[in-house]
Amino acid sequence: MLEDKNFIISIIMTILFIVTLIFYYHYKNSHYTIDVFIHKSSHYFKTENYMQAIRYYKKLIMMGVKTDKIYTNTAISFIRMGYYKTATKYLLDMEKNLLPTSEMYYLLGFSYYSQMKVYKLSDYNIPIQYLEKSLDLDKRNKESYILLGKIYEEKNEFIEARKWYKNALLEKIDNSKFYGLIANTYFKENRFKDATEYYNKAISNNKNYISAYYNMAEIYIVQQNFDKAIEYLKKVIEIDPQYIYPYSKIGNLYFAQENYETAIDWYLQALKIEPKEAIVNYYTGISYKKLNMLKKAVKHLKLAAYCGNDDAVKELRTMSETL
Amino acid sequence: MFYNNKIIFFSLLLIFSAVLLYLINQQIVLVGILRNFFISLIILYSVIILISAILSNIFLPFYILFSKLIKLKCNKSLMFWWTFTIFSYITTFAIFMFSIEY
Repeated sequence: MLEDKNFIISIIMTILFIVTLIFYYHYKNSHYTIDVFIHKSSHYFKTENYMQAIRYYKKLIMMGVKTDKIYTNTAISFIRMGYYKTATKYLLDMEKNLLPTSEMYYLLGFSYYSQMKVYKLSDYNIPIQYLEKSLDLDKRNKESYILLGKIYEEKNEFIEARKWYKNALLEKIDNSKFYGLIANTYFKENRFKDATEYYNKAISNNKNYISAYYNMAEIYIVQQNFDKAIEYLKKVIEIDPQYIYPYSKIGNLYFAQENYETAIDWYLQALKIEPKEAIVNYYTGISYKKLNMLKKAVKHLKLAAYCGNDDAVKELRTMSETL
Repeated sequence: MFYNNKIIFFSLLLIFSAVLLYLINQQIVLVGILRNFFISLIILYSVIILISAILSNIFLPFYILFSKLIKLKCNKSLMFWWTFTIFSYITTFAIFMFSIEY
């Protein structure tokens, strides 16, 4: 082979080619400045262009700029794009190279938890372990408390979930939120008296806590106390008049009591906000049908069917057979 | 390049493709089946070979015409192979330039 002139020339040309690539690579890189890359990556991260942000963060890490912020922002960018395994890889790399931070452990916990949801796994121990480490480093890390509580709620360990929410209350981080979360756990256990107590505590800390008012209404609906439920739903509307669900919920309550005219009034208010809401259109149609106003009934049922409501399709079919 | 030993040439091209894939992976987030390294490598390798083959096929008629004009002995398969190796290197360099551009 070595006597073959062509072969020797080919090898020399290949070596020259590789040397050209190396020189070109170094020439290009000598023009790249770290400051420009930091500026670009931050800009893309702030504008939520995570694909571009990742490009520049990866380059920064390759250039040896390995700071907390760059690693965590890279991990957050991967998480936002749904690449949880890659995010985990960067966070574990960060753990090896830098001093661990509370945010890093929270993101690790979140990445492992997200992977569990995607791959339908059931070992909660790894995310729990990281979230607890996060709180060891910073007892005021709100997101860690919330995620820990959420994990224990999914395991149906409501006592443990409440323990973490109460720990957050001791640190006085967003009391209304954590009172609301404790109330939710009681609600899931059907302990409505305790749930009501904590929802009221949440509301006393934040008069505009929509979720608390809404869930109080749900409690009263379960207890068949519709007047009280409507009262709380009206408070939700006072806080956010553009939120469609309280209108449709009140409509449903009147519908259940066969008060179709009042139900329609509330459904129409909901449809002013979201005219193509399929379920609301369906119930509006049914309410008109109950009042024998068939033209309006068909109009709303058609809209519901067009927006994907199968019950509306069946109802229209039945109506066309009977008419 | 005019390698007589095609196995060596194609092995080298595979190594170049692997390096290019690493650089491309640094630039963009590869999605779907491209996330698998070996599948991406085969795809990139095939793309380089395909582009080089197409360019060689485009060049070949000109060579045949030129040979006829100057009454030169025409060895189509050898000329195809030479141009194929040259275009493979040019394609590799072109992809390399894009994959390190920020």
